[in-house]
Amino acid sequence: MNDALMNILAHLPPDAARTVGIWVAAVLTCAILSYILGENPAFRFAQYLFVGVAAGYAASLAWTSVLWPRLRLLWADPSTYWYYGLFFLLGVLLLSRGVKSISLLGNLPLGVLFGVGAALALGGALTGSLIPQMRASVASLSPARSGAGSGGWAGWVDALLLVIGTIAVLSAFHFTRLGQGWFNALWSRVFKVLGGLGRGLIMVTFGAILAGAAYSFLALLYSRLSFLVNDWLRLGQ
Amino acid sequence: MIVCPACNHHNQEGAEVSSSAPPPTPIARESAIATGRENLSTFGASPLDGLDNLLPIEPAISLPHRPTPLVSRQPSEDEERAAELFRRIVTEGVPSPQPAPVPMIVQAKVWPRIGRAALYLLVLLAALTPFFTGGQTASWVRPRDSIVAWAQSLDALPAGSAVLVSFDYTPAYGGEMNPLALALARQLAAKSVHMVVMSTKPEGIGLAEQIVALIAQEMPAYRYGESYAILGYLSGQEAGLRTLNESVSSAFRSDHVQRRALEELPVTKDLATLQDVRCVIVLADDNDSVRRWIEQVQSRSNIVLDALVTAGVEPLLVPYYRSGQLRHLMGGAVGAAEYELASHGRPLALRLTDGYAALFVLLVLVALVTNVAEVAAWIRRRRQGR
Repeated sequence: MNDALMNILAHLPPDAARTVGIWVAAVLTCAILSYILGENPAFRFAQYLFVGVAAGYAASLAWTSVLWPRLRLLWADPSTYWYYGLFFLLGVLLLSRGVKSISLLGNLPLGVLFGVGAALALGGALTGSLIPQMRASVASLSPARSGAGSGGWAGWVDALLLVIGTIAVLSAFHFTRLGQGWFNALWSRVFKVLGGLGRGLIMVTFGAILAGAAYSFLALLYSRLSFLVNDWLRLGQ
Repeated sequence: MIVCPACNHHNQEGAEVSSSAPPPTPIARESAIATGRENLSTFGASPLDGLDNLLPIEPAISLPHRPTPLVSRQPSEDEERAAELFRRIVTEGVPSPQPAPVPMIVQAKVWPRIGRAALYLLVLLAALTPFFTGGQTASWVRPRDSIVAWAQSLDALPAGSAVLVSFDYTPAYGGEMNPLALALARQLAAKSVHMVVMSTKPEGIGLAEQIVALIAQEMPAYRYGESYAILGYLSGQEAGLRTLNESVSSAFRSDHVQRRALEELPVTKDLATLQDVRCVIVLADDNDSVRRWIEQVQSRSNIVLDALVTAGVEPLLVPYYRSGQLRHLMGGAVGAAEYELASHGRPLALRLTDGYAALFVLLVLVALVTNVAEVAAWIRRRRQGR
């Protein structure tokens, strides 16, 4: 059986695998592009296949690159790599979540996962995002700090916009109603104006993200069309 | 007054003893029960006969009361008004928090479908433009100073120095990111800079293998193990990156291709921590991946971090670039074309500039048309309202 298969493969042209790959990719690309005509079985098939292949690839990579090498180390030298055994035990306990009668055992690895994950994420967000970003938003408005000439003034305007923009966007999320009195009324009016400006700035940001996404998707569409025209139909050669 | 023969109790007022009277009929008995005042001792000749009404309160408790007859009278005006008000309150419907649904005339949804299909076709035409025009607008592209500075910083890397490149994007964005990754790998290989490749996404490793295979084909002197190595997939997200920051060999026991220990490969044998690489370049299709690198690696070890991301993600990472946490930030799409010009690379993304220009014109036209239509509809509604 194996020899017969090898015989058939030996008689195939050398670039047969590439040709088959191109045809499969072209058919799947056409299936995805058929969404322009509306939801249809070909599109759904390609979509499910894409998700399934990605999940399968990730699972096989996790086995070959993460689990199996560490299992081998544990098997070869358990006294040195005993901690891998502990982690595998936690991993196996995680599987108990699927059985109702012993699902309580899965709480231990889940607790470790969530605890470690939350601690790392919170610590990282504090030291890597929150504090540095707050420090960066405290900008000097002195033109002298930005350099001489028109560049200095441009830097000053940039810093001013940064400060005003930061305060305005923060004001857009201020929903507290202040009390009575002229001071509170004035303060409410200031917050209202700044909040409106902040919402405008948020809209500009969304617009920038949307425009970037549109260019991104055009690049993706072009790459697929280029594949169909050049590699599959060979019209561009 | 009669004295009870059993207990010598004196009978109360009105109590009678009769032994000769005939038993009452059921109607008479009912009547007697109802009045509660009749002598019940006539029902039988028991020893207790004739002892009724010894306790005057007993009939009031034990015997059923006759209902008080209703007095028929005419209601007053106030009572009638109150009754009418009560009737209205009870019979009126429950007030609905939402207005009653107004029957709408169902229109045939032809125009939206045609408009959507027309928009699809126009975008398709914009994407096809480069096939026909051949990059007419490429000469208009001027690389930004930041991109020129980044290309120059890569050029300035000494031969033999190591750079860590993380392919943190999926095949879904391969069309945008692959030209960028290819241009980067070409520039590094041309300068004989060692490339250590990894990914925090499983799919990223497959893409990295494709890119370095192309480079290896183009430049046979750029060999695996000596000039570049693929470390593989780093699991664990935050925890994995923290481990990598502390020790590369703890995060990767062996390389991905030859399954050899990192100490055995010339390109990775001196790589103990991330401080041993000149810079880390992250190619990502989402901002979370780059943020993880900043939070778990850059903020703790102050390594130089560059990010090459998709155009849609770029605005979200600008604050990190402005704060200096990212040394360089470049978006795909237009940024890739600028980078090809700045690094004098092959014009892959530059071919697309005509498509970007066509899309830009299309978006402006669509925005104009839809806004004019909306304003016209608003004016029409106002006139109808008057």
